[in-house]
Amino acid sequence: MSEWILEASAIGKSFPGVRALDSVDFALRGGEVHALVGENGAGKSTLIKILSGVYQPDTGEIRVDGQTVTLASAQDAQRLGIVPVHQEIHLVPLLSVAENIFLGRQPMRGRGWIDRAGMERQAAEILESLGIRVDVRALVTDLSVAQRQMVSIARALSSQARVIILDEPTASLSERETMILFEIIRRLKERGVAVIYISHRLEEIFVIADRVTVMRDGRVVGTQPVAETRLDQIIAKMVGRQMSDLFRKQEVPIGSPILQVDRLNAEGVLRDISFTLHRGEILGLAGLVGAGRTELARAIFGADRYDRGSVLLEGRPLRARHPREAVARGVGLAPEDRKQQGLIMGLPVAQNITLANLFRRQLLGFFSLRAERQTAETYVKRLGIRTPDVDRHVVFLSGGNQQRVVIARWLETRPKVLILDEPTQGVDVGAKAEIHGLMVELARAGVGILLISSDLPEVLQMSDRVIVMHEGRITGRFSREQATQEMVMRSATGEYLEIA
Amino acid sequence: MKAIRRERGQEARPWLKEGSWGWLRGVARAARGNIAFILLITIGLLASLLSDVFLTPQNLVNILSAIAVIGIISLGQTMLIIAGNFDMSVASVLGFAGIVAVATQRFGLLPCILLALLAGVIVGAVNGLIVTRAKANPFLVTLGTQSFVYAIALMATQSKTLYSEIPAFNILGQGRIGRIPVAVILFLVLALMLQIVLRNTVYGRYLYAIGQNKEAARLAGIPVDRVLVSTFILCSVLAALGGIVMTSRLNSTVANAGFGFDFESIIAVVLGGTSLFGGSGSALLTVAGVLVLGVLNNTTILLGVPYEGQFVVKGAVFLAVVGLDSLVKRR
Repeated sequence: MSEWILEASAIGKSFPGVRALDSVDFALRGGEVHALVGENGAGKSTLIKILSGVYQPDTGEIRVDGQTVTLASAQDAQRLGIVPVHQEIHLVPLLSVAENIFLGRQPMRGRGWIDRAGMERQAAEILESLGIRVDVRALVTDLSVAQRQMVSIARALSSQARVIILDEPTASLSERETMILFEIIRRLKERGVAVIYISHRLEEIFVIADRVTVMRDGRVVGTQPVAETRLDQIIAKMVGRQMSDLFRKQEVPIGSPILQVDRLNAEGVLRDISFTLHRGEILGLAGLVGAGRTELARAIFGADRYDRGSVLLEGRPLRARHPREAVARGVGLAPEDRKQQGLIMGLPVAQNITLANLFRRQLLGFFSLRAERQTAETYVKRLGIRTPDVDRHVVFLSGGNQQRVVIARWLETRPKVLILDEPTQGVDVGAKAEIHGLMVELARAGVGILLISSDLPEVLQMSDRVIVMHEGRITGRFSREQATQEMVMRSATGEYLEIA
Repeated sequence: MKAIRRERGQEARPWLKEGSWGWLRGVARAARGNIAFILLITIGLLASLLSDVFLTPQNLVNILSAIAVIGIISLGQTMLIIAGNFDMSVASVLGFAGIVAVATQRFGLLPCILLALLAGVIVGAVNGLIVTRAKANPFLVTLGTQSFVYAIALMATQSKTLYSEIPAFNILGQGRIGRIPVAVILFLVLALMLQIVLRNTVYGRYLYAIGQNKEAARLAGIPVDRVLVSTFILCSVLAALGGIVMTSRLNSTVANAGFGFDFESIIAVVLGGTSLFGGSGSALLTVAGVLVLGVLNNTTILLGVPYEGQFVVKGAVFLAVVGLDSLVKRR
């Protein structure tokens, strides 16, 4: 009996034009939490897909419990106990928790009849063993994102999974929910289940993982016990260069008010939101998921309606009932969901960049394709967008580059106010710093920036002032000097702390 | 069939085609952009082998002449399909516009044509407003207006045929410039104009954006509803124009003159290679698709295939193309 529950040796995988994996070795012990980190494009997803049977490697072999296996499909992998839990949670909303856990594997009574009582009992047992407090009869649609994720894990466990793969599991979880998740992972460990843990949140690795593997450019750079390494060492391996300090924001002069929001109210969503954004200022908007930050952004931008209150842009009222009005007045919004809302995946880079500003570059409805191309190429150079040419559909670009295209689009509109909703989510370390640099550049040009982010260090580093929301209200206002992680967190969980 | 489940949130690799049907997918993708031309050449070759008449100038002109009306209608349908919608009311708008034209002939040539086009504007506006305001399925909404307009047409004509009285009216349908019918020239000119609009105008660009991702288009500041209503109107106006041409050609009009044109126009667009899911396509592709339809029809007639057989052929080709379309576009 091998000590290794799952091994991959010399795995190679190429796609047309890209060598995704080059001689990758990976090994997993039973009961260990093994973190897998790397920039976007490093090969993590490809490796995971090979381990879970979705892709087949070109070269190399996979061994389960020491025996060589061929994983021709996801079902093959599942039969061997390798189960991925995706970011996109694949549960059926209108079925109950128990039904979802046993979907396709319902315990039967006789022929063709589901043993409902038995199913609910077994589901409850699994949830109990993991410490998950959810009613097995609750409908999935009534659960929070965090709870759904836990049900997904329970489902994986119910299929006798021995290896569970978690891909960015804490992306939409609050701090408290993350702690609960970690507790569940610890219980999985006790049962001998191995966990492959992928995350961009490197601090988490030190809390939950036993070993960490760093990938870069399709290769494994190193695998080490977490106890024997440090954060800056991991980052250095990921980017291949030393990153002494995270980005430090330079001073930018702050001008007159450019956006004034006064007692904005939307039934059930926003309560008396008032704040002022100045030219050249980066205003951080912090809060937990569900606090109403995105809703506020959309209300200002005209994407959603609000009931009462006013928005003044450059002193004149902006009552946008459609994003078109906001864009025409010089407001831009880079949405949280960049793939479904921020960009149009099936259109080329050039077209995505010009889309929001075409109406200003037209003559009698016509515009110049050549000018569009030139504009796009200028931005590609200026923002460092890595793409073979501007005609490539943006779906082919990595997360960080896609985000750069989003920013290019809004830069092209010469905005007065730019709202960025989680601009560096799912973006690798190198691109993150560059995007921060762009923000400062924009601020220097006099643009007012509203930065919505769940990444506390990012918020604290980049913002001149911070406002914090909780359940639709503003519960905290801090100046740059006063804002600390602890203060922001306290406001985010409901404490009123208005200092600035 | 081994389907590849692609998870959102992970890098998409659309060129990847794994599984036992992967090779077919690759062929389909390569064929996709050029499917109309491949079909045209294949069927054309077959036809010229099986019939001596096929390649004669007269026959070729006949083909063009026969597809002029459906071509004009398909151009309108193309715009809507690119934007992610459909118009199933074109068939009854065609008939209705013809009736309006003939019924108002006593006001003069130009007024009666304008009034017929106006009928198209009104139906298009109704379609567009219901689809955008009620956020209803365009397919179903336009099927509804189709019935409604047909009913009005039947009542107005009391189910009888109306005859055109002004000789000048017939130029559109029966006139020629050289050997080419005016109707064909009109179709080709319109196709060219649409092609330019789609590629070079803001409006055209908006159509593709909306067809690809309506919400993302809206968040980029595109006035989605306004664009869609305009497109429904344009499509209906082109259907009305088709009705005018047809009436002019036959010297007469009847309520069900456009029977079958709703599906045929969609078939033509899909045959050309435009995706039913929206977000891609062009006027030139539709011209190719219309030509394929024309050649198919012509061939079946030349070969003496019975009337019913035509539908079988059309249906089979349509199914094949739709199947390929889904295979390629499957998300």
